[in-house]
Amino acid sequence: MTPDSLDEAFAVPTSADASRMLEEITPVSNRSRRLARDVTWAQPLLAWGLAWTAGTLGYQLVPGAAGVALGLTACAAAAAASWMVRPRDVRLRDSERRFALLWAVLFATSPLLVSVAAPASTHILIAFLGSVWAVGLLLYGAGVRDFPMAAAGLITVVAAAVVRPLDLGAAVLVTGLTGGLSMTALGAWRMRWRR
Amino acid sequence: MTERDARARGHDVQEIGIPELAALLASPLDPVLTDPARLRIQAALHALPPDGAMSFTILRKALGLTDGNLGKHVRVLIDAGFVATEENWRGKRRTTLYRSTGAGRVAFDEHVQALNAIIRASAAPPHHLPNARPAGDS
Repeated sequence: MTPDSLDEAFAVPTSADASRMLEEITPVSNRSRRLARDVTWAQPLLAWGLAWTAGTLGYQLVPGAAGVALGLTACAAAAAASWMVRPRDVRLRDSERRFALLWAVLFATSPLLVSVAAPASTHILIAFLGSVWAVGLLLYGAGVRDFPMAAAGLITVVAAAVVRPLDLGAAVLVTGLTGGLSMTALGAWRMRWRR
Repeated sequence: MTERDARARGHDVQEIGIPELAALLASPLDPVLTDPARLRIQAALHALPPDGAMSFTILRKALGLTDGNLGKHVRVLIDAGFVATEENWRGKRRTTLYRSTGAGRVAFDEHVQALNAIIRASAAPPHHLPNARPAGDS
């Protein structure tokens, strides 16, 4: 069928037909945007959420340097997984790529921020690092108007800020589990596109 | 459709003048997009940002069409210049991505505007229509 042959069969729709066509467009547009976002972020969010959760529990349960190594290994695994599962079925727009690059820059330079802040203990160091990464999540979500993602970052950094002065011992656990579980839940919810 | 029906469906039926209505009706309906399936495909791609694209699989999930039906209508849209394809290679795996072209975006916007004009024209009081005549005028 060519557009030329379409002209022959062309008929102006009635107002009822026009109304029905317009009503069908909105849900399709919403589903299209939602699918693009789900496909892009479901697996990386799951990977990072599980890494935060496992890393936090590892740090809390395994004493000494081994606990820190466990947490770092979980984060390295999440970073590798995010790279390996980057989507083939959807292409992000250029502005979203730029925001993702800014997020990666913040992530990569966060050890420098830790060096500047020179936290007094490993507990503060980890809570601070988690807060910086959560701010990255918040900024990315706000930049690309992905509000659930921004909310996950905001909740995490607020939780860290509230708990840190009250109970330093619980700060790592609260920051890690708030961020980890919110990212895991968001990632799992976004896996719906596979169903 | 009456004005009340149109209001119930959420369409804007505020009274419009003849010049505005004439301008609305001048927006062309595109024969390619008159088919509801093709209009929905174009809507799905139009919803992505201008440089965004998606694969056949995701497009099918967004629309709930069969492979055959989707493939047939996408081909018509490609032939019309409304949709473009790009090859995306990851190692040895190739994925074809579909995106709306600039012409496709313009045609979709104008088509939607024309559909809105049809609804507004049918909801407008008769004396507001461009070809309306006063009662008793022969």
